[in-house]
Amino acid sequence: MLTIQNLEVVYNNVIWVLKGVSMEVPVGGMICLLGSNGAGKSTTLKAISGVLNLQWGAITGGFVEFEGERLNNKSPQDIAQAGIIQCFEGRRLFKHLTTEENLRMGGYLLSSNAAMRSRLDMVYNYFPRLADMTHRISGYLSGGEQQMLVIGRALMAKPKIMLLDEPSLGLAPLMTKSIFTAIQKINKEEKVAFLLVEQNTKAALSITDYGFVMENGRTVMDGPSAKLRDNEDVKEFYLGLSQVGTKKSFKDTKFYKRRKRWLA
Amino acid sequence: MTLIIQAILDGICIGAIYGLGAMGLVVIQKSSGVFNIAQGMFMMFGGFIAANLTLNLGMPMWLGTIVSMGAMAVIGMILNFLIMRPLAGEPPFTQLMATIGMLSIMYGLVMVIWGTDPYIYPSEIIPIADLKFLGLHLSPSYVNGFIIALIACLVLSEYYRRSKEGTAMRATSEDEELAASVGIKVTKVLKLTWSIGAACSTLAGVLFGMLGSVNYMLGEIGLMAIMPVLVFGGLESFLGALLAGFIVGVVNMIVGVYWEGSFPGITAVVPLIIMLLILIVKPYGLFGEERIERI
Repeated sequence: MLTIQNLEVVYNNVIWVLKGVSMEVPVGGMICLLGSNGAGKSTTLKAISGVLNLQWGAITGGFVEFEGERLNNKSPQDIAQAGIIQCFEGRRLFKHLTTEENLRMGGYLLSSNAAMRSRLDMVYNYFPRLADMTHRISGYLSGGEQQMLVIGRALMAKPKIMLLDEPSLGLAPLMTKSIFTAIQKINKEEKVAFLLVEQNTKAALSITDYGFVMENGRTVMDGPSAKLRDNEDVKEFYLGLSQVGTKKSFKDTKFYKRRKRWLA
Repeated sequence: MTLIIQAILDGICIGAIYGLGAMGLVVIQKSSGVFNIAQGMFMMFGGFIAANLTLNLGMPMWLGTIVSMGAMAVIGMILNFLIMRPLAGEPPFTQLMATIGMLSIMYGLVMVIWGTDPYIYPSEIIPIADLKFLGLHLSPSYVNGFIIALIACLVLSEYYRRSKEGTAMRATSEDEELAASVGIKVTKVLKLTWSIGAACSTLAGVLFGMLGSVNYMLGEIGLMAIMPVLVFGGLESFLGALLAGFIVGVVNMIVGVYWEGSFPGITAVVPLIIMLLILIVKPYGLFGEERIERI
């Protein structure tokens, strides 16, 4: 459904951020994008949803294709219309608007009041907490509630694929769990594909089917999530499991037992 | 005693007009985040265009007002397209300087096109007779001003609060990038904003002109009275602009009645003094939006 081939992105004409990213998201798939900070994960999402030129970035090579159509130079409004919705990093909301107004803005492209009403009911079904605070100014909600609102707002627009940028940022473990459960429910029931960028590798690999690992602007590894979880390199670099089961001694302290050979 | 009540009544009427003028700027501030210092010029320009239409072309007053509102809406859109849009990502100070530039140019243009002589409108928009009761006297231009300004204020604020487009305008002012990613056409919203803001101020300018005459001093009213009204009502609030307008109008009238004789010109300074006092207590204005920050 969504294909990215050899994508290259440059910011401000000088900063070369993505150096050849390729990935694919099938219909209804749950894909995760892993990597440490600065790998280019958010930039990949922004390239898909078209907001790059609002941040002085540009796609200089490769393409993004969605259902057969190239999205390279389209405006973010057209891409949202096509069904790709991004939830930005850091719980970005319209802070001075109320919860319900935020959701209504999410449904800006819906054609009728009835459609708006039914989508609103659906979102409140998935996130009952939001129904209790429809008229509260969204800037004053707690972190978990704001994240629910962000996902709900994305859901309002009848997305075919949702790009989630670090949904678990700054949330308590229980709240993270409930958000991820909601994401899985939405994926199954509404048939919405998810491209999940996460730092919380363990949680991300547990709910997704397929994963891509990015380092320094390139995809360096991909595979089904179960295989990634058992991969020795991923275990050491991202899951913090090295020499599991053996007794460690301080004498053997060395930062990388394996050389990171992906960084060429 | 009747003097004070008369002053209060007149003040409320003028206050509604101040509020309407300030609302034009609130509209622009709300959705593009630009503090448009040239707003007073929209008032003046609009007032003069209406004067031209009604006096030279003989249009009835209500038609002349509507046509001049339309003309100023178009001019507002053009100004946004030519001047403000290319400065979109620049720091707010740069955008402010651009509006100051617009102010100077428009001021000069008014003098060049229409000269410094005052024009007097041929009639009021709603023709009614003088109201005399209980020893008080309300002239038709004041009543006109009050009714029309109030209706315009209510219509505008309801539009912003309830309608989808109004909420979209508030969302755009908050975060343009997020608005774009939700599907809101940001350039369309900004064009609409500048036209509504300009049309609003034009109506205020015409209503002011009806009270006395249309002359180049209208621009002064714009700067000296409407800016303070706006600032202490809260830059993003319609209700605040209206209330602030009432306060300034009433206080201005009372001060004018008692002290204009002994301190000539004090009425011009009163709005600024009120603004200072209120800002000391409430820095964001009476109804302004406080910045929401997570600490």
